[in-house]
Amino acid sequence: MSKDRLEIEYPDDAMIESQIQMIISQGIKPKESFYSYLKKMYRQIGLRHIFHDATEIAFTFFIAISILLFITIGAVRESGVADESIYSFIFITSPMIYLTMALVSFVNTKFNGTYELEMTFKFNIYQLAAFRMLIFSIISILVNTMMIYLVAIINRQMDFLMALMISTTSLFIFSIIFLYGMMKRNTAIKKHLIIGGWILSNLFLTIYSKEFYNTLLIHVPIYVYLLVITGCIYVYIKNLKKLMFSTDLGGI
Amino acid sequence: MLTIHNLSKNFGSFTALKDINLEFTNGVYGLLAPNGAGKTTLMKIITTLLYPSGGEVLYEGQDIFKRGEDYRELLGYLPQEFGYYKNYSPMQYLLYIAALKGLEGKVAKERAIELLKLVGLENVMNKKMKKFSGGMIQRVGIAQAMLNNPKILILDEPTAGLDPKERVRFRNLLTDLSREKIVILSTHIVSDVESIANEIIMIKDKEILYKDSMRNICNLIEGMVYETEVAFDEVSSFKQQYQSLSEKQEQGKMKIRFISKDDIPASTWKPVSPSLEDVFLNIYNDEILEGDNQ
Ligand SMILES: Nc1ncnc2c1ncn2[C@@H]1O[C@H](COP(=O)(O)OP(=O)(O)OP(=O)(O)O)[C@@H](O)[C@H]1O
Ligand SMILES: [Mg+2]
Repeated sequence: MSKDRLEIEYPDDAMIESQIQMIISQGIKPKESFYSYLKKMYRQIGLRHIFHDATEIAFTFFIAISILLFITIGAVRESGVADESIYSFIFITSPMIYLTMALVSFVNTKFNGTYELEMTFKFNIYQLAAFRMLIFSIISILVNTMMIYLVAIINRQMDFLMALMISTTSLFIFSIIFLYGMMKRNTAIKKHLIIGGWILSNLFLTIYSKEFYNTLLIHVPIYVYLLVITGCIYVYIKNLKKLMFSTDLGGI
Repeated sequence: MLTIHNLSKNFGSFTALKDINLEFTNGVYGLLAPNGAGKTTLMKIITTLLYPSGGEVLYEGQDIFKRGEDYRELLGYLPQEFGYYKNYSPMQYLLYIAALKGLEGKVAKERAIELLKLVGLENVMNKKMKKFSGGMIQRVGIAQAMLNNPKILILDEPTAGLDPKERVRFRNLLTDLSREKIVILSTHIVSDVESIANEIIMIKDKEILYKDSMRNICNLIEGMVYETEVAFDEVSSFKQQYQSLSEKQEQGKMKIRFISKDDIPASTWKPVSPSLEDVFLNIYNDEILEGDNQ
Protein backbone atom coordinates (compact mmCIF):
# COMPACT_ATOMS: atom_id res chain seq x y z
CA MET A 1 0.00 0.00 0.00
CA SER A 2 1.38 3.39 -0.87
CA LYS A 3 1.64 5.85 1.99
CA ASP A 4 1.18 9.08 0.09
CA ARG A 5 -2.57 8.97 -0.28
CA LEU A 6 -4.43 11.72 -2.03
CA GLU A 7 -5.55 14.35 0.45
CA ILE A 8 -9.25 15.00 0.25
CA GLU A 9 -10.69 17.76 2.33
CA TYR A 10 -13.53 16.61 4.50
CA PRO A 11 -16.69 18.52 3.50
CA ASP A 12 -18.20 20.77 6.15
CA ASP A 13 -21.60 20.17 7.71
CA ALA A 14 -23.47 22.64 5.55
CA MET A 15 -22.04 21.03 2.46
CA ILE A 16 -23.02 17.55 3.64
CA GLU A 17 -26.47 18.74 4.53
CA SER A 18 -27.06 20.35 1.12
CA GLN A 19 -25.75 17.28 -0.66
CA ILE A 20 -28.06 15.02 1.34
CA GLN A 21 -30.99 17.28 0.57
CA MET A 22 -30.16 17.11 -3.12
CA ILE A 23 -29.94 13.34 -3.12
CA ILE A 24 -33.20 13.04 -1.25
CA SER A 25 -35.05 15.47 -3.48
CA GLN A 26 -33.83 13.70 -6.59
CA GLY A 27 -34.32 10.24 -5.22
CA ILE A 28 -37.80 10.65 -3.82
CA LYS A 29 -40.31 12.25 -6.10
CA PRO A 30 -43.22 13.87 -4.30
CA LYS A 31 -46.16 11.52 -4.38
CA GLU A 32 -48.79 12.77 -6.74
CA SER A 33 -52.37 13.03 -5.62
CA PHE A 34 -55.04 10.96 -7.28
CA TYR A 35 -56.72 14.00 -8.73
CA SER A 36 -53.58 15.57 -10.13
CA TYR A 37 -52.61 12.25 -11.65
CA LEU A 38 -56.00 11.98 -13.35
CA LYS A 39 -55.51 15.46 -14.71
CA LYS A 40 -52.07 14.55 -15.95
CA MET A 41 -53.44 11.51 -17.74
CA TYR A 42 -56.22 13.56 -19.26
CA ARG A 43 -53.75 16.15 -20.50
CA GLN A 44 -51.03 13.82 -21.69
CA ILE A 45 -53.03 10.97 -23.15
CA GLY A 46 -56.33 12.61 -24.01
CA LEU A 47 -59.79 11.12 -23.82
CA ARG A 48 -59.61 9.88 -27.39
CA HIS A 49 -56.82 7.48 -26.49
CA ILE A 50 -57.93 6.68 -22.97
CA PHE A 51 -61.23 5.54 -24.46
CA HIS A 52 -59.71 4.23 -27.65
CA ASP A 53 -62.33 1.49 -27.77
CA ALA A 54 -65.19 3.96 -27.32
CA THR A 55 -67.12 2.51 -30.27
CA GLU A 56 -67.12 -0.97 -28.79
CA ILE A 57 -68.03 0.37 -25.38
CA ALA A 58 -70.85 2.52 -26.77
CA PHE A 59 -72.19 -0.41 -28.75
CA THR A 60 -72.24 -2.70 -25.73
CA PHE A 61 -73.56 0.12 -23.60
CA PHE A 62 -76.63 0.58 -25.77
CA ILE A 63 -77.33 -3.10 -25.95
CA ALA A 64 -77.06 -3.33 -22.17
CA ILE A 65 -79.34 -0.32 -21.68
CA SER A 66 -81.93 -1.70 -24.09
CA ILE A 67 -82.00 -5.03 -22.32
CA LEU A 68 -82.16 -3.35 -18.95
CA LEU A 69 -84.97 -1.03 -20.03
CA PHE A 70 -86.86 -3.95 -21.46
CA ILE A 71 -86.53 -5.93 -18.25
CA THR A 72 -87.29 -2.92 -16.08
CA ILE A 73 -90.48 -2.05 -17.90
CA GLY A 74 -91.54 -5.67 -17.71
CA ALA A 75 -90.76 -5.81 -14.02
CA VAL A 76 -92.57 -2.58 -13.26
CA ARG A 77 -95.64 -3.70 -15.17
CA GLU A 78 -95.71 -7.04 -13.46
CA SER A 79 -95.19 -5.88 -9.92
CA GLY A 80 -98.40 -4.62 -8.41
CA VAL A 81 -98.80 -1.20 -6.90
CA ALA A 82 -97.78 -2.20 -3.43
CA ASP A 83 -95.13 -4.64 -4.46
CA GLU A 84 -91.80 -3.62 -3.04
CA SER A 85 -89.73 -6.06 -5.02
CA ILE A 86 -88.87 -3.22 -7.36
CA TYR A 87 -86.23 -2.21 -4.80
CA SER A 88 -84.45 -5.51 -4.83
CA PHE A 89 -84.68 -5.44 -8.60
CA ILE A 90 -82.92 -2.08 -8.58
CA PHE A 91 -80.32 -3.38 -6.18
CA ILE A 92 -79.46 -6.29 -8.45
CA THR A 93 -79.46 -4.47 -11.78
CA SER A 94 -77.77 -1.20 -10.84
CA PRO A 95 -74.18 -2.41 -11.34
CA MET A 96 -74.93 -4.00 -14.71
CA ILE A 97 -74.13 -0.99 -16.87
CA TYR A 98 -70.88 -0.54 -15.01
CA LEU A 99 -70.08 -4.21 -15.33
CA THR A 100 -70.63 -4.36 -19.08
CA MET A 101 -68.51 -1.30 -19.73
CA ALA A 102 -65.68 -2.52 -17.54
CA LEU A 103 -65.76 -5.98 -19.07
CA VAL A 104 -65.65 -4.75 -22.67
CA SER A 105 -62.26 -3.16 -22.16
CA PHE A 106 -60.79 -6.27 -20.56
CA VAL A 107 -62.20 -8.60 -23.14
CA ASN A 108 -60.93 -6.31 -25.86
CA THR A 109 -57.37 -6.26 -24.58
CA LYS A 110 -57.39 -9.96 -23.91
CA PHE A 111 -58.85 -10.83 -27.26
CA ASN A 112 -56.34 -8.77 -29.19
CA GLY A 113 -53.41 -9.99 -27.13
CA THR A 114 -52.20 -6.48 -26.42
CA TYR A 115 -51.99 -6.97 -22.66
CA GLU A 116 -48.26 -7.66 -22.52
CA LEU A 117 -47.34 -4.69 -24.60
CA GLU A 118 -49.69 -2.27 -22.90
CA MET A 119 -48.43 -3.28 -19.47
CA THR A 120 -44.98 -1.94 -20.33
CA PHE A 121 -46.01 1.57 -21.31
CA LYS A 122 -45.49 4.61 -19.14
CA PHE A 123 -49.24 4.69 -18.57
CA ASN A 124 -50.03 1.03 -18.28
CA ILE A 125 -53.24 -0.95 -18.29
CA TYR A 126 -53.86 -0.54 -14.57
CA GLN A 127 -53.53 3.21 -14.64
CA LEU A 128 -55.82 3.45 -17.62
CA ALA A 129 -58.26 1.07 -15.98
CA ALA A 130 -58.40 3.24 -12.86
CA PHE A 131 -59.21 6.30 -14.95
CA ARG A 132 -61.76 4.47 -17.03
CA MET A 133 -63.50 2.80 -14.13
CA LEU A 134 -63.96 6.11 -12.43
CA ILE A 135 -65.64 7.50 -15.55
CA PHE A 136 -67.71 4.32 -15.87
CA SER A 137 -68.99 4.78 -12.32
CA ILE A 138 -70.03 8.33 -13.07
CA ILE A 139 -71.81 7.28 -16.26
CA SER A 140 -73.47 4.46 -14.36
CA ILE A 141 -74.78 6.76 -11.67
CA LEU A 142 -76.22 9.09 -14.30
CA VAL A 143 -77.84 6.28 -16.28
CA ASN A 144 -79.22 4.61 -13.17
CA THR A 145 -80.67 7.88 -11.94
CA MET A 146 -82.41 8.43 -15.24
CA MET A 147 -83.79 4.92 -15.26
CA ILE A 148 -85.07 5.24 -11.73
CA TYR A 149 -86.64 8.56 -12.61
CA LEU A 150 -88.39 6.88 -15.51
CA VAL A 151 -89.64 4.07 -13.31
CA ALA A 152 -90.79 6.57 -10.71
CA ILE A 153 -92.99 8.23 -13.33
CA ILE A 154 -94.65 4.95 -14.22
CA ASN A 155 -94.81 3.60 -10.70
CA ARG A 156 -95.90 6.44 -8.45
CA GLN A 157 -95.74 4.21 -5.42
CA MET A 158 -91.98 4.01 -5.59
CA ASP A 159 -89.93 6.38 -3.49
CA PHE A 160 -87.46 8.03 -5.87
CA LEU A 161 -84.94 9.04 -3.24
CA MET A 162 -84.98 5.63 -1.60
CA ALA A 163 -84.54 3.93 -4.96
CA LEU A 164 -81.65 6.22 -5.81
CA MET A 165 -79.92 5.42 -2.53
CA ILE A 166 -80.36 1.71 -3.03
CA SER A 167 -79.07 1.93 -6.58
CA THR A 168 -75.98 3.94 -5.71
CA THR A 169 -75.13 1.81 -2.72
CA SER A 170 -75.39 -1.28 -4.84
CA LEU A 171 -73.24 0.21 -7.58
CA PHE A 172 -70.40 1.09 -5.25
CA ILE A 173 -70.49 -2.13 -3.29
CA PHE A 174 -70.25 -3.98 -6.56
CA SER A 175 -67.49 -1.71 -7.90
CA ILE A 176 -65.42 -2.42 -4.82
CA ILE A 177 -65.90 -6.15 -5.19
CA PHE A 178 -65.07 -5.94 -8.88
CA LEU A 179 -61.94 -3.91 -8.26
CA TYR A 180 -60.87 -6.32 -5.58
CA GLY A 181 -61.29 -9.22 -7.97
CA MET A 182 -59.22 -7.43 -10.54
CA MET A 183 -56.38 -6.33 -8.32
CA LYS A 184 -55.68 -9.49 -6.48
CA ARG A 185 -53.87 -11.76 -8.81
CA ASN A 186 -56.89 -13.94 -9.04
CA THR A 187 -57.43 -16.66 -11.54
CA ALA A 188 -60.01 -16.15 -14.26
CA ILE A 189 -62.34 -18.59 -12.56
CA LYS A 190 -62.22 -16.63 -9.34
CA LYS A 191 -63.00 -13.45 -11.23
CA HIS A 192 -66.03 -15.01 -12.89
CA LEU A 193 -67.13 -16.30 -9.52
CA ILE A 194 -66.98 -12.81 -8.08
CA ILE A 195 -69.25 -11.41 -10.76
CA GLY A 196 -71.54 -14.41 -11.02
CA GLY A 197 -71.61 -14.57 -7.23
CA TRP A 198 -73.12 -11.12 -7.04
CA ILE A 199 -76.05 -11.98 -9.24
CA LEU A 200 -76.55 -15.44 -7.78
CA SER A 201 -76.42 -14.42 -4.13
CA ASN A 202 -78.84 -11.57 -4.79
CA LEU A 203 -81.18 -13.80 -6.74
CA PHE A 204 -80.96 -16.38 -4.00
CA LEU A 205 -81.89 -13.78 -1.42
CA THR A 206 -84.84 -12.52 -3.44
CA ILE A 207 -86.20 -15.94 -4.13
CA TYR A 208 -85.47 -17.53 -0.81
CA SER A 209 -86.69 -14.77 1.42
CA LYS A 210 -88.13 -12.04 -0.67
CA GLU A 211 -89.97 -10.48 2.23
CA PHE A 212 -86.93 -10.17 4.38
CA TYR A 213 -84.76 -8.85 1.61
CA ASN A 214 -87.21 -6.19 0.50
CA THR A 215 -87.97 -5.12 4.04
CA LEU A 216 -84.29 -4.87 4.76
CA LEU A 217 -83.71 -2.64 1.75
CA ILE A 218 -86.64 -0.38 2.53
CA HIS A 219 -86.21 -0.08 6.25
CA VAL A 220 -82.68 1.05 6.18
CA PRO A 221 -82.97 4.78 6.80
CA ILE A 222 -81.73 7.17 4.14
CA TYR A 223 -78.93 8.51 6.32
CA VAL A 224 -77.55 5.00 6.75
CA TYR A 225 -77.54 4.64 3.01
CA LEU A 226 -75.73 7.93 2.74
CA LEU A 227 -73.18 6.75 5.26
CA VAL A 228 -72.68 3.47 3.46
CA ILE A 229 -72.35 5.24 0.12
CA THR A 230 -69.79 7.67 1.50
CA GLY A 231 -67.83 4.82 3.02
CA CYS A 232 -67.97 2.86 -0.21
CA ILE A 233 -66.86 5.79 -2.34
CA TYR A 234 -63.95 6.31 0.02
CA VAL A 235 -62.85 2.69 -0.23
CA TYR A 236 -63.44 2.68 -3.97
CA ILE A 237 -61.29 5.73 -4.62
CA LYS A 238 -58.65 4.38 -2.28
CA ASN A 239 -58.52 1.16 -4.27
CA LEU A 240 -58.46 3.00 -7.57
CA LYS A 241 -55.52 4.94 -6.21
CA LYS A 242 -53.81 1.74 -5.26
CA LEU A 243 -54.45 0.39 -8.73
CA MET A 244 -53.01 3.53 -10.24
CA PHE A 245 -49.87 3.82 -8.19
CA SER A 246 -49.11 0.21 -7.53
CA THR A 247 -45.72 -0.90 -8.74
CA ASP A 248 -45.85 -4.58 -8.04
CA LEU A 249 -49.11 -5.62 -9.64
CA GLY A 250 -47.45 -6.26 -12.96
CA GLY A 251 -45.75 -9.50 -12.18
CA ILE A 252 -46.98 -13.00 -11.67
CA MET B 1 -26.60 0.72 -16.51
CA LEU B 2 -28.91 -2.23 -16.07
CA THR B 3 -27.85 -4.79 -13.53
CA ILE B 4 -29.34 -8.19 -12.89
CA HIS B 5 -28.42 -9.60 -9.56
CA ASN B 6 -28.83 -13.24 -8.46
CA LEU B 7 -32.04 -13.46 -10.38
CA SER B 8 -34.19 -16.57 -10.40
CA LYS B 9 -37.64 -17.35 -11.71
CA ASN B 10 -39.85 -20.30 -10.91
CA PHE B 11 -43.20 -21.19 -12.35
CA GLY B 12 -44.67 -23.29 -9.58
CA SER B 13 -42.14 -26.03 -8.97
CA PHE B 14 -40.51 -25.53 -12.38
CA THR B 15 -37.33 -23.47 -12.43
CA ALA B 16 -37.02 -21.40 -15.60
CA LEU B 17 -34.00 -19.31 -14.60
CA LYS B 18 -31.54 -19.38 -11.73
CA ASP B 19 -28.45 -17.50 -10.53
CA ILE B 20 -28.58 -14.95 -13.31
CA ASN B 21 -26.06 -12.15 -12.96
CA LEU B 22 -25.70 -9.72 -15.83
CA GLU B 23 -24.62 -6.18 -16.50
CA PHE B 24 -25.70 -4.14 -19.47
CA THR B 25 -24.16 -0.90 -20.61
CA ASN B 26 -24.99 0.82 -23.89
CA GLY B 27 -24.67 -1.57 -26.78
CA VAL B 28 -26.44 -4.40 -28.56
CA TYR B 29 -26.72 -7.72 -26.75
CA GLY B 30 -27.86 -10.88 -28.46
CA LEU B 31 -29.56 -13.50 -26.30
CA LEU B 32 -28.83 -16.70 -28.11
CA ALA B 33 -30.31 -19.94 -26.84
CA PRO B 34 -32.53 -22.75 -28.07
CA ASN B 35 -36.31 -22.94 -27.65
CA GLY B 36 -37.48 -23.02 -24.07
CA ALA B 37 -34.17 -21.82 -22.63
CA GLY B 38 -35.77 -18.88 -20.86
CA LYS B 39 -35.09 -15.95 -23.19
CA THR B 40 -38.64 -14.65 -23.13
CA THR B 41 -38.84 -15.17 -19.37
CA LEU B 42 -35.71 -13.09 -18.82
CA MET B 43 -37.00 -10.35 -21.10
CA LYS B 44 -40.39 -10.28 -19.41
CA ILE B 45 -38.67 -9.73 -16.09
CA ILE B 46 -36.61 -6.87 -17.50
CA THR B 47 -39.81 -5.29 -18.85
CA THR B 48 -41.50 -5.69 -15.42
CA LEU B 49 -44.11 -8.09 -16.80
CA LEU B 50 -42.93 -10.90 -14.57
CA TYR B 51 -41.87 -10.55 -11.00
CA PRO B 52 -38.66 -12.42 -10.16
CA SER B 53 -38.83 -15.28 -7.67
CA GLY B 54 -35.49 -14.20 -6.27
CA GLY B 55 -32.86 -11.54 -6.83
CA GLU B 56 -33.30 -8.09 -8.30
CA VAL B 57 -33.04 -5.99 -11.42
CA LEU B 58 -31.58 -2.53 -11.00
CA TYR B 59 -31.46 0.38 -13.39
CA GLU B 60 -29.00 3.05 -12.33
CA GLY B 61 -28.90 1.39 -8.97
CA GLN B 62 -32.63 1.43 -8.32
CA ASP B 63 -35.02 -1.49 -8.36
CA ILE B 64 -36.99 -1.38 -11.61
CA PHE B 65 -40.21 -2.55 -10.00
CA LYS B 66 -40.02 0.21 -7.41
CA ARG B 67 -39.29 2.82 -10.07
CA GLY B 68 -42.44 1.81 -11.92
CA GLU B 69 -43.56 4.52 -14.27
CA ASP B 70 -40.19 6.27 -14.32
CA TYR B 71 -38.62 3.08 -15.53
CA ARG B 72 -41.30 2.14 -18.04
CA GLU B 73 -40.92 5.54 -19.61
CA LEU B 74 -37.43 4.49 -20.73
CA LEU B 75 -38.54 1.18 -22.10
CA GLY B 76 -39.25 -0.06 -25.62
CA TYR B 77 -40.49 -3.60 -25.98
CA LEU B 78 -41.38 -5.89 -28.82
CA PRO B 79 -43.06 -9.02 -27.41
CA GLN B 80 -42.54 -12.36 -29.08
CA GLU B 81 -46.22 -12.43 -29.87
CA PHE B 82 -47.15 -8.95 -30.86
CA GLY B 83 -50.80 -8.07 -30.27
CA TYR B 84 -52.54 -5.27 -32.13
CA TYR B 85 -56.01 -3.95 -32.82
CA LYS B 86 -57.04 -5.34 -36.16
CA ASN B 87 -59.17 -2.41 -37.23
CA TYR B 88 -56.42 0.11 -36.65
CA SER B 89 -54.06 1.38 -39.29
CA PRO B 90 -50.37 1.40 -38.34
CA MET B 91 -50.58 5.17 -38.02
CA GLN B 92 -53.57 5.02 -35.64
CA TYR B 93 -51.94 2.29 -33.62
CA LEU B 94 -48.63 4.10 -33.30
CA LEU B 95 -50.37 7.29 -32.25
CA TYR B 96 -52.32 5.39 -29.61
CA ILE B 97 -49.15 3.80 -28.26
CA ALA B 98 -47.30 7.09 -28.40
CA ALA B 99 -50.00 8.64 -26.22
CA LEU B 100 -49.69 5.85 -23.66
CA LYS B 101 -45.94 6.32 -23.72
CA GLY B 102 -46.54 9.94 -22.78
CA LEU B 103 -45.47 11.51 -26.08
CA GLU B 104 -46.95 14.81 -27.04
CA GLY B 105 -49.34 14.75 -30.01
CA LYS B 106 -47.27 16.65 -32.56
CA VAL B 107 -44.00 14.93 -31.68
CA ALA B 108 -45.79 11.60 -31.79
CA LYS B 109 -47.05 12.12 -35.29
CA GLU B 110 -43.67 13.13 -36.69
CA ARG B 111 -41.96 10.27 -34.97
CA ALA B 112 -44.55 7.75 -36.17
CA ILE B 113 -44.20 8.82 -39.78
CA GLU B 114 -40.42 8.75 -39.52
CA LEU B 115 -40.41 5.25 -38.09
CA LEU B 116 -42.97 3.90 -40.54
CA LYS B 117 -40.69 5.12 -43.30
CA LEU B 118 -37.71 3.46 -41.67
CA VAL B 119 -39.47 0.09 -41.58
CA GLY B 120 -40.75 0.55 -45.12
CA LEU B 121 -44.46 0.85 -44.36
CA GLU B 122 -45.04 4.43 -45.48
CA ASN B 123 -47.24 3.32 -48.37
CA VAL B 124 -49.63 1.39 -46.17
CA MET B 125 -49.62 3.52 -43.06
CA ASN B 126 -53.32 4.26 -43.34
CA LYS B 127 -54.46 0.75 -44.30
CA LYS B 128 -56.10 -1.47 -41.72
CA MET B 129 -53.68 -3.90 -40.15
CA LYS B 130 -55.98 -6.89 -40.43
CA LYS B 131 -54.93 -7.14 -44.08
CA PHE B 132 -51.24 -7.14 -43.23
CA SER B 133 -48.84 -10.05 -43.62
CA GLY B 134 -46.95 -11.43 -40.64
CA GLY B 135 -43.77 -9.64 -41.62
CA MET B 136 -45.56 -6.32 -41.96
CA ILE B 137 -47.10 -6.68 -38.51
CA GLN B 138 -43.67 -7.47 -37.13
CA ARG B 139 -42.36 -4.24 -38.63
CA VAL B 140 -45.17 -2.25 -37.02
CA GLY B 141 -44.04 -3.92 -33.81
CA ILE B 142 -40.46 -2.84 -34.32
CA ALA B 143 -41.58 0.71 -35.04
CA GLN B 144 -43.73 0.95 -31.90
CA ALA B 145 -40.87 -0.24 -29.70
CA MET B 146 -38.76 2.70 -30.84
CA LEU B 147 -41.42 5.40 -30.62
CA ASN B 148 -40.26 6.92 -27.36
CA ASN B 149 -36.58 6.67 -28.28
CA PRO B 150 -36.12 4.22 -25.42
CA LYS B 151 -33.01 3.94 -23.30
CA ILE B 152 -33.65 0.24 -22.94
CA LEU B 153 -34.88 -1.58 -26.01
CA ILE B 154 -36.01 -5.18 -25.56
CA LEU B 155 -36.77 -7.10 -28.74
CA ASP B 156 -38.01 -10.66 -28.43
CA GLU B 157 -37.23 -12.38 -31.72
CA PRO B 158 -37.49 -9.24 -33.81
CA THR B 159 -36.51 -10.89 -37.08
CA ALA B 160 -39.02 -13.73 -36.88
CA GLY B 161 -41.12 -13.64 -40.04
CA LEU B 162 -38.97 -11.11 -41.88
CA ASP B 163 -37.70 -11.87 -45.37
CA PRO B 164 -33.95 -11.54 -46.10
CA LYS B 165 -34.36 -8.04 -47.50
CA GLU B 166 -36.25 -6.88 -44.43
CA ARG B 167 -33.70 -8.51 -42.16
CA VAL B 168 -30.97 -6.43 -43.72
CA ARG B 169 -33.13 -3.35 -43.37
CA PHE B 170 -33.75 -4.21 -39.72
CA ARG B 171 -30.02 -4.62 -39.02
CA ASN B 172 -29.23 -1.25 -40.54
CA LEU B 173 -32.09 0.34 -38.68
CA LEU B 174 -30.87 -1.09 -35.42
CA THR B 175 -27.30 0.01 -36.02
CA ASP B 176 -28.59 3.53 -36.65
CA LEU B 177 -30.96 3.67 -33.72
CA SER B 178 -29.04 1.74 -31.11
CA ARG B 179 -26.54 4.40 -30.20
CA GLU B 180 -26.64 5.34 -26.53
CA LYS B 181 -29.09 2.62 -25.68
CA ILE B 182 -29.13 -0.78 -24.16
CA VAL B 183 -30.53 -3.09 -26.80
CA ILE B 184 -31.27 -6.67 -25.85
CA LEU B 185 -32.57 -8.94 -28.56
CA SER B 186 -33.29 -12.61 -28.45
CA THR B 187 -33.11 -15.08 -31.25
CA HIS B 188 -32.21 -18.60 -32.04
CA ILE B 189 -31.20 -17.63 -35.54
CA VAL B 190 -27.46 -17.44 -35.31
CA SER B 191 -26.86 -15.31 -38.38
CA ASP B 192 -29.04 -12.55 -36.93
CA VAL B 193 -26.95 -11.85 -33.88
CA GLU B 194 -23.70 -12.42 -35.73
CA SER B 195 -24.08 -9.19 -37.62
CA ILE B 196 -25.93 -7.06 -35.07
CA ALA B 197 -24.78 -7.82 -31.56
CA ASN B 198 -21.67 -6.49 -29.84
CA GLU B 199 -22.00 -9.11 -27.18
CA ILE B 200 -23.61 -12.48 -27.09
CA ILE B 201 -25.30 -14.03 -24.10
CA MET B 202 -25.92 -17.74 -24.03
CA ILE B 203 -28.22 -19.48 -21.59
CA LYS B 204 -27.80 -23.13 -20.78
CA ASP B 205 -29.37 -25.22 -18.03
CA LYS B 206 -31.28 -22.14 -16.80
CA GLU B 207 -28.05 -20.24 -16.17
CA ILE B 208 -25.89 -17.81 -18.10
CA LEU B 209 -23.18 -19.80 -19.82
CA TYR B 210 -21.36 -17.04 -21.68
CA LYS B 211 -21.55 -13.30 -22.03
CA ASP B 212 -18.82 -12.26 -24.38
CA SER B 213 -17.98 -10.86 -27.78
CA MET B 214 -18.55 -13.07 -30.78
CA ARG B 215 -14.81 -13.28 -31.40
CA ASN B 216 -14.12 -14.66 -27.93
CA ILE B 217 -17.00 -17.07 -28.07
CA CYS B 218 -15.84 -18.42 -31.42
CA ASN B 219 -12.34 -18.75 -30.02
CA LEU B 220 -13.67 -21.31 -27.57
CA ILE B 221 -13.50 -23.94 -30.27
CA GLU B 222 -10.75 -22.40 -32.35
CA GLY B 223 -8.66 -25.14 -33.96
CA MET B 224 -11.29 -27.80 -33.46
CA VAL B 225 -13.44 -27.26 -36.53
CA TYR B 226 -12.61 -29.01 -39.77
CA GLU B 227 -14.10 -29.87 -43.09
CA THR B 228 -13.48 -33.06 -44.96
CA GLU B 229 -14.96 -35.32 -47.60
CA VAL B 230 -16.22 -38.74 -46.65
CA ALA B 231 -17.52 -41.55 -48.84
CA PHE B 232 -21.22 -42.21 -48.37
CA ASP B 233 -20.82 -45.62 -46.80
CA GLU B 234 -18.44 -44.25 -44.18
CA VAL B 235 -20.61 -41.33 -43.17
CA SER B 236 -22.45 -42.97 -40.31
CA SER B 237 -19.35 -44.39 -38.68
CA PHE B 238 -17.63 -41.03 -39.08
CA LYS B 239 -20.50 -39.24 -37.42
CA GLN B 240 -20.37 -41.61 -34.49
CA GLN B 241 -16.80 -40.65 -33.92
CA TYR B 242 -17.01 -36.91 -34.46
CA GLN B 243 -19.68 -34.35 -33.87
CA SER B 244 -20.99 -33.26 -37.24
CA LEU B 245 -21.97 -29.60 -37.65
CA SER B 246 -23.21 -29.64 -41.19
CA GLU B 247 -23.28 -31.94 -44.17
CA LYS B 248 -23.50 -31.33 -47.87
CA GLN B 249 -23.47 -33.66 -50.87
CA GLU B 250 -20.76 -32.79 -53.34
CA GLN B 251 -19.64 -34.78 -56.39
CA GLY B 252 -20.62 -38.18 -55.13
CA LYS B 253 -19.16 -37.63 -51.71
CA MET B 254 -20.32 -36.10 -48.45
CA LYS B 255 -18.68 -32.92 -47.33
CA ILE B 256 -18.83 -32.76 -43.56
CA ARG B 257 -18.05 -29.90 -41.20
CA PHE B 258 -17.29 -31.28 -37.78
CA ILE B 259 -15.60 -30.85 -34.45
CA SER B 260 -12.60 -32.86 -33.40
CA LYS B 261 -10.65 -32.49 -30.20
CA ASP B 262 -7.89 -34.81 -31.44
CA ASP B 263 -4.46 -33.34 -31.19
CA ILE B 264 -3.29 -34.68 -34.51
CA PRO B 265 -5.75 -34.03 -37.30
CA ALA B 266 -5.78 -36.30 -40.33
CA SER B 267 -4.09 -34.90 -43.41
CA THR B 268 -7.37 -34.88 -45.36
CA TRP B 269 -9.01 -32.57 -42.84
CA LYS B 270 -9.10 -28.93 -43.72
CA PRO B 271 -9.05 -26.66 -40.65
CA VAL B 272 -11.62 -23.87 -40.82
CA SER B 273 -12.29 -20.95 -38.53
CA PRO B 274 -15.29 -21.55 -36.30
CA SER B 275 -18.52 -19.64 -36.76
CA LEU B 276 -21.01 -18.77 -34.07
CA GLU B 277 -23.27 -21.45 -35.42
CA ASP B 278 -20.56 -24.05 -34.82
CA VAL B 279 -20.30 -22.93 -31.20
CA PHE B 280 -24.06 -23.01 -30.82
CA LEU B 281 -24.30 -26.53 -32.18
CA ASN B 282 -21.42 -27.66 -30.03
CA ILE B 283 -22.78 -26.14 -26.83
CA TYR B 284 -26.33 -27.31 -27.23
CA ASN B 285 -25.41 -30.64 -28.78
CA ASP B 286 -26.08 -32.70 -25.65
CA GLU B 287 -29.43 -31.03 -25.26
CA ILE B 288 -30.38 -31.85 -28.83
CA LEU B 289 -29.28 -35.44 -28.37
CA GLU B 290 -31.16 -35.72 -25.10
CA GLY B 291 -34.20 -34.34 -26.83
CA ASP B 292 -33.92 -36.96 -29.53
CA ASN B 293 -33.71 -39.80 -27.06
CA GLN B 294 -36.82 -38.79 -25.17
N1 LIG C 1 -46.24 -18.78 -17.47
C1 LIG C 1 -45.52 -19.91 -17.46
N2 LIG C 1 -45.89 -20.94 -16.67
C2 LIG C 1 -45.16 -22.08 -16.64
N3 LIG C 1 -44.05 -22.29 -17.33
C3 LIG C 1 -43.63 -21.31 -18.13
C4 LIG C 1 -44.33 -20.07 -18.24
N4 LIG C 1 -43.67 -19.28 -19.11
C5 LIG C 1 -42.61 -19.99 -19.52
N5 LIG C 1 -42.57 -21.22 -18.96
C6 LIG C 1 -41.53 -22.24 -19.15
O1 LIG C 1 -40.27 -21.65 -18.96
C7 LIG C 1 -39.34 -22.13 -19.90
C8 LIG C 1 -38.71 -20.98 -20.65
O2 LIG C 1 -39.69 -20.39 -21.49
P1 LIG C 1 -39.36 -19.14 -22.42
O3 LIG C 1 -40.62 -18.76 -23.10
O4 LIG C 1 -38.69 -18.11 -21.60
O5 LIG C 1 -38.34 -19.75 -23.48
P2 LIG C 1 -37.69 -19.06 -24.76
O6 LIG C 1 -36.22 -19.15 -24.59
O7 LIG C 1 -38.27 -17.72 -24.95
O8 LIG C 1 -38.17 -20.04 -25.92
P3 LIG C 1 -38.53 -19.72 -27.45
O9 LIG C 1 -37.24 -19.67 -28.18
O10 LIG C 1 -39.34 -20.87 -27.88
O11 LIG C 1 -39.28 -18.45 -27.48
C9 LIG C 1 -40.10 -23.10 -20.79
O12 LIG C 1 -39.81 -24.41 -20.36
C10 LIG C 1 -41.54 -22.78 -20.56
O13 LIG C 1 -42.32 -23.93 -20.66
MG1 LIG D 1 -39.34 -16.83 -26.39
